[in-house]
Amino acid sequence: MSVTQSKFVPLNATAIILVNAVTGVIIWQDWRVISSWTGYICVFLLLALGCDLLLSSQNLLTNENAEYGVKKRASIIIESTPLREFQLARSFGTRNLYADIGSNSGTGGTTTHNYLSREVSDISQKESRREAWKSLFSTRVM
Amino acid sequence: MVDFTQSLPICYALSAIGGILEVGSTAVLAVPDAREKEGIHLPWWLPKVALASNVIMQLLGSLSANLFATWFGPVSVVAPIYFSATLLTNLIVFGFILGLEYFTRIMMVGTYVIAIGTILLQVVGPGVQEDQDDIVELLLRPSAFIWFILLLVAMIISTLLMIRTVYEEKKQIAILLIARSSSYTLNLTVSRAFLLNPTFLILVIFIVIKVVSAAIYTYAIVVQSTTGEFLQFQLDAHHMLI
Repeated sequence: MSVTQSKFVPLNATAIILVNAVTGVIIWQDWRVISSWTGYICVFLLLALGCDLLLSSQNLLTNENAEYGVKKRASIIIESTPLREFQLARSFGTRNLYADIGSNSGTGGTTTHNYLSREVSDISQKESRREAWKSLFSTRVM
Repeated sequence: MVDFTQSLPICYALSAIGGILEVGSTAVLAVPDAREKEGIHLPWWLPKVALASNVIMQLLGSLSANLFATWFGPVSVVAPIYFSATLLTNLIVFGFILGLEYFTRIMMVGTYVIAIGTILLQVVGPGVQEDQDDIVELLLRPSAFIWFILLLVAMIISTLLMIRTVYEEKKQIAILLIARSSSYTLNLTVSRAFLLNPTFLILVIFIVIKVVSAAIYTYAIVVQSTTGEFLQFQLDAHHMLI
């Protein structure tokens, strides 16, 4: 069984720093020359949190993450992406798709134009969605 | 005691140089490799020069951070400075300059947090102690003696476990963490102890601990990086024999 580097490297740094700090206090009597215990402990918390950030960023959305699984991962992606900014529903008009056909029945040219514009609008919406997914995966999964 | 004037700036600088050289040693191997993958033909001597540079930089980095830095300041600040210098240099060299690695925003923030934490450590952390001149006296205090023995036992047992077999991931990580943290700490501790008037016998013991702990630390790195490939190699060899 190989060790996942993204998990191991930050854990290793944290463990070494903490064991060294304890050794400093117990063997080298660092307790005599530490200027602020609160500051000292907080700095180690800061270092551990930094290591945890390095750990979690690797662990969250990669295929190596065995804890979340595909379903959970997908929901995390959906919740944390700007997909909601892309309008998937009709932003204007009514739910009746034939409403504009009726109003323009006398002028065939205008009707064709409406259908064409709707198609163009649909394509552009698909493009946007595709772009959204593309940008999502390029920023999150890499 | 050998007359070494304690100096925190020198201690910090040597620790940081160790971390920078560590990343540099990886970079000199990574760049030719990346260029070859891009299809650029390299002269035959370049990989050899890169390998030699890698070994020299690793050696200098190790001497700088794991030996000389401990002579000028507290042992407990060497490791944080060394690791934060490694992480920061890794981000700058591999992320910004060479562009060989991709760093997410969270990874960058994590690196900056560690770097700032290390700077703060110099403000609130331990200072120099000029009055420590006898390692035997320091180690014979019960708490120090117990902790030192505990580190030694942890290093030996974890190494034996590491050599014996390969475990499932969580157990393997735990064993590797114990092996690496105990060996690294012992290595730094005996490095500083060289200067504190050890008797001949103690000096010999410390040199043995220094060499053995360095070997164990390196072995743990090899196990950590190659366990998967090693297992596959063993399986392939087994199949070939059958």
